[in-house]
Amino acid sequence: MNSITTPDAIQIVAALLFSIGVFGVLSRRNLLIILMSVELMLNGANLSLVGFAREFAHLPGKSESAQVMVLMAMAVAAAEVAVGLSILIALFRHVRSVSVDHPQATTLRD
Amino acid sequence: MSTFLVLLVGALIVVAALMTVTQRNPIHAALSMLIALGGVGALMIGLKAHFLAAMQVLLYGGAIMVLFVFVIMLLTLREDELGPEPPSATRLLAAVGALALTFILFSALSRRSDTEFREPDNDAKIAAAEAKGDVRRRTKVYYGSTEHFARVLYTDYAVPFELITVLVMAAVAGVIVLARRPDSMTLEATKLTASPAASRAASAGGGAA
Repeated sequence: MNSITTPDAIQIVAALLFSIGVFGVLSRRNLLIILMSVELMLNGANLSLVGFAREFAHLPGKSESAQVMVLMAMAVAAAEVAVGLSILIALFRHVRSVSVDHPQATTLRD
Repeated sequence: MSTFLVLLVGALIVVAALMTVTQRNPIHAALSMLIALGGVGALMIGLKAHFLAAMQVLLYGGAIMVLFVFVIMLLTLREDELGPEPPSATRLLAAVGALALTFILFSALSRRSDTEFREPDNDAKIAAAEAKGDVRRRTKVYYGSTEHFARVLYTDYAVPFELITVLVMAAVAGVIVLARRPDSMTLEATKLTASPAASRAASAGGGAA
């Protein structure tokens, strides 16, 4: 365990979080869980950015730029979840199911 | 921040994330996700991103989690409405794909130089900024302080920050259009009426006129 440095530990956690999010998107058919998995992927990317910003904070230049980027990503994530959940509600009204594999789920336009 | 602490919180995050993607009940998955998001917020405090940690709790733990729980409670899903889970072969393929991605990410990490976090030299940064005549860096700030973060956000990134308002406005308009009932798409139906029947009658009347 001593061979792992703190920056690497942060990046390992971020990579695992992102991979678990990918696994959730690929393996689940419940639209709610898929949206949550996308949130986990966004969090993994955000954690990685913050970790790199801290790692290069001693160098000249503005490494706070990465933190600004993470703040933008959070705002985009909030907007994305709002739109995604309203699509989920529209889907549920239409087919009475939140499964993306539902036979009627692909016929949202009527 | 010690490596042990990072790995401890990281293990909590990974377990909570795995529970999020494997739980059948959406509310259990949402609460597991809350733990994972809180863990990421804790790591952000250790990485000197104090403002982002606060935003992580307020935006993710507050706003986004409330949205998820609100929708779950609104739908009150029954077992058959959750839909069948995919066959185990699909899950196995998904696991293989995710493990392959983990391997790729880890192999990228293995090529990094193994140095610990170094303390940012704030005095040298301020001196360099003053030498270049950059008056914005003259205050005594340290890396990760909210003041320093705000300085960067409201000077270098003021335009993208303002453009977020456009994005949020577009999202609000999109949500209103998407989440409406299909029978209330006319302007007349949006006005408050005594009963749903009267609303439908007004909508039908508007359509006929």
